[in-house]
Amino acid sequence: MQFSEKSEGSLLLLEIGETRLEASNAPELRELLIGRIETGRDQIILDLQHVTFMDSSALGALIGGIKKMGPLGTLALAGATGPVLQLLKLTRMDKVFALYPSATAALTEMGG
Amino acid sequence: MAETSPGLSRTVERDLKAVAPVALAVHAYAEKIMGADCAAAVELALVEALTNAIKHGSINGRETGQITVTVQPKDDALVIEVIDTVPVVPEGLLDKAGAQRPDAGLDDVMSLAESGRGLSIIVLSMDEVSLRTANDRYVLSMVKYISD
Repeated sequence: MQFSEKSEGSLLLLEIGETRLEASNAPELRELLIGRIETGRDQIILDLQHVTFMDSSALGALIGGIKKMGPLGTLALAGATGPVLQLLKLTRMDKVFALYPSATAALTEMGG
Repeated sequence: MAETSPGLSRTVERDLKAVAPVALAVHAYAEKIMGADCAAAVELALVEALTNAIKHGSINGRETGQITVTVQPKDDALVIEVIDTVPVVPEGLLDKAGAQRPDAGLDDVMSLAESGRGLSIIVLSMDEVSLRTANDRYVLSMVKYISD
């Protein structure tokens, strides 16, 4: 899975480089999130600006991440647009994840 | 008389990596007929259906064999069919998927299911969804109306 990561204080920004998040790469997405959470990262922003398509398998990986994170941490989604945002709304997951229009907005809001 | 756009037909190997190229081809075709938003809904429903067919085709012991996707305009709608030698989706689950409330259980994140949303997404994305058998094949038929 193509991605880049950057830490800003206690925040971890994961920018996904893939344009599609679907069943074929959902396990890698899950591994990426769970792996970072298991190292103690509890404030993660997933930047989806490059992602033009997402399916329920990838959504399941995100849900796995937020469950692993637990109530004391935050897994936020940034830059979700078009079909990605539509899927989140269709499944009501826009009520579960903190959504930000951009990584910059997320960093600003969550950075306090 | 309006010219009818020719349909589209693709075969899909039973491999999750084979889904995206077909989905993109169907999206491009659908977008010419019904615009970007409807094409996106069609693509999502198709990806969910193919993923389900591939995953359950393997579970049922059939790891070889292709799945066929056809897309055909019909009247004021686009008909997308996924044809397989095993049920594309279990029929009982298709009926249940239509009745599921998408906002059920949102209060408790820890109880959220990590899988099983595919069929609901198909039903929510398309205007009509049905399952039938034809010539020893199982056909999942998904219809999207072309809005004005």
